[in-house]
Amino acid sequence: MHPLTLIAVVVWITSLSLVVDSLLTLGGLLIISVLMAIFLSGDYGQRLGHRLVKLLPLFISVFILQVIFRKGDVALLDLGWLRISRSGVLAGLQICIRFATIICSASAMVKLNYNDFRIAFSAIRLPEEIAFMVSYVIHFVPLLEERFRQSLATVRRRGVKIESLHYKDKIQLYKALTIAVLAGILSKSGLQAIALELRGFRSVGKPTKYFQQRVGLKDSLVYYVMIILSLIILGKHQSYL
Amino acid sequence: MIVIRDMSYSWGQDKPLFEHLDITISANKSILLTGDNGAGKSTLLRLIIGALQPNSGSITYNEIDTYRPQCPLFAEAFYLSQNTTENLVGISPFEDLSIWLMAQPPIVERHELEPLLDSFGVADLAHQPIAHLSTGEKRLVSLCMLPQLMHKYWILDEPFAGLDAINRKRLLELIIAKQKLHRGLILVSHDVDTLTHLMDETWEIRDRSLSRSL
Amino acid sequence: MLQIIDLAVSFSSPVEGDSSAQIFRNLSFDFEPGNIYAIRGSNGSGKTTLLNTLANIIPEHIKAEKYGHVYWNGILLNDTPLKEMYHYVSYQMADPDHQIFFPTIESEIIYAPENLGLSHDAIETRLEASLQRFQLSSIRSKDAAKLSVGQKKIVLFAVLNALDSPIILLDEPSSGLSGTSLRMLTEWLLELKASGKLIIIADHKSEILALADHSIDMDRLQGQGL
Repeated sequence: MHPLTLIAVVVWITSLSLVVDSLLTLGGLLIISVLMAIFLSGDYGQRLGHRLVKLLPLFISVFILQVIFRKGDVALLDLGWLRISRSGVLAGLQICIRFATIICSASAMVKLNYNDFRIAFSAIRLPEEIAFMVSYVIHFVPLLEERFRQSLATVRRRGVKIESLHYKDKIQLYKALTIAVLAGILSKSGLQAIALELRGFRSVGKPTKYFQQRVGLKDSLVYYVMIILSLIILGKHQSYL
Repeated sequence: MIVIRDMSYSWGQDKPLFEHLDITISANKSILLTGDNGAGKSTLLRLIIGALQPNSGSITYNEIDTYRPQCPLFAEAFYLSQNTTENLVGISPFEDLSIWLMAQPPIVERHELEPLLDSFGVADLAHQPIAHLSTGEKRLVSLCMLPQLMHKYWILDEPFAGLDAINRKRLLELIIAKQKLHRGLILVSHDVDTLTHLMDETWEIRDRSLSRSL
Repeated sequence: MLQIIDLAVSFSSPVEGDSSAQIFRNLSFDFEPGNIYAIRGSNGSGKTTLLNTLANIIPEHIKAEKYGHVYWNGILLNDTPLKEMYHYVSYQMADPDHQIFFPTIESEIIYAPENLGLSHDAIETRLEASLQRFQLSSIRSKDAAKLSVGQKKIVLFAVLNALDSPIILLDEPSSGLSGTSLRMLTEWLLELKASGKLIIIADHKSEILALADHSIDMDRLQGQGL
């Protein structure tokens, strides 16, 4: 599949999930993005479950806030001091599903490398700098995570038992590691940009493409499905259910 | 003592790097590990320290698999990666060394840190950002702690890479001193000529297994 | 001919109170094509800095005071933007991880020839020649990022070989290379020399230094002219 198609699907899912209100449709979009994350991002997708579980407190608090403060007509529960409305519950669910959809569909792009963005963006005539920047931004968080894990492993191998450190020392250690990891990544990305320029990145003149990647039958199919689904979803009368 | 039993390992779907490897690494021997580029020298070291898990068979220290977090290998051993960035975790060389102060049991005290940087001639880099150092300088900083770790078993991946003559000599002297103390080490290097005579054994990785020569 | 005239580089130290560190000054030297030049010197003596200066990374990307002129066949390279330097110079940097971007070895190799705007057939010729030269044909569709450090270096040699620039800068090419790969490197260097390339190498290994026609000792250069 052409990398542009995947990017288009991710953009389509995220923007649609922001426009659509119907919980059923939102649920459908979430399922598509979860499947994409699992099948397209390899082991990063396998850890998606963990990631979402870690975010559970955030989801729950957003949901509770919506439920408590959203005023609505139909009351599901009325204790006088606390009134839970139907629209509050629905709005809470909506926000949580949207959030999860965006996280899942973004992680489907983690396996796309610089070359994929280069191919995708040159197909719609966007400059190469944008491909580099987008790919850099997408990979920043996973890279940060990996390097931080690596640093912790190095510290453990020095005979430091992180778990049994004093609370103050632990904070100190995490602070030092975070700053060092960030500095390392920033300096590395600077050097990478230099290294690319030394091979003609952004240079004057029209580059040739040795491996032509054309939009194939599968890609067209995906685009048609996206268009048809958009028409059905947006054409339908919008309601919560 | 690290025991490798019937161990096989491959990267993903690639053909295996090791098949049914059986070997015991004793704590007081010095071993030179050699082999072609891509033969699996670094991978073997990473398997030994438990950063990777064998596909089958086992690698144990004190009868505990080294990849398990509770394995006490690093109370007794020290590992240096070939990748200098991975070895350093501080913002400056001094700060990086300070992290050793948290080790249990204690290995070094604060006033000993600055002089340690002198052991590989990088004292004047103590407060420079590590990100600005050359690869050679990063390697030197990562070696500075070695004089304090003579009691540990060393697992060193290409420690000589990028070192100039003076610093090569410094590292060689440390290795000789260590051998006099009968403390072991395993190191990967391509400087076969110099090191073969010095080390107790040379192991060569070839065709997915190890051949040993004394 | 690569001509450097009165070249000087100094860094302003990031540590407060430290005076700026002069790496070298009044450096004048003529590098002739068809020769191998070795830059020797202890760790931290400025070998990489000299290579970075010749490649114009200093001062365009790494901030430093740079004085003097660098000419290639009469063309002043000082003013050439970094992104156009690949017409003159190819550069293997010390840490191979900074130079590997692409998902396969072949896409890594063809990137620079693509930017040069070469025809499909010309790219193919360079790609196949480089793959064969460095015995990479059987692993051409592998991800170079997953190879060992030594193998990554070999991939970078193939990348440089395909770029085919007249000046070739190599920073520690031999470190991490085993017997077979080291032989591959020395053979390649002699081939480049025979084909009239200008090769400048910073390295410590005697096998590599022995190939050099001339050498520059950075330790003797510190703070003074040549």
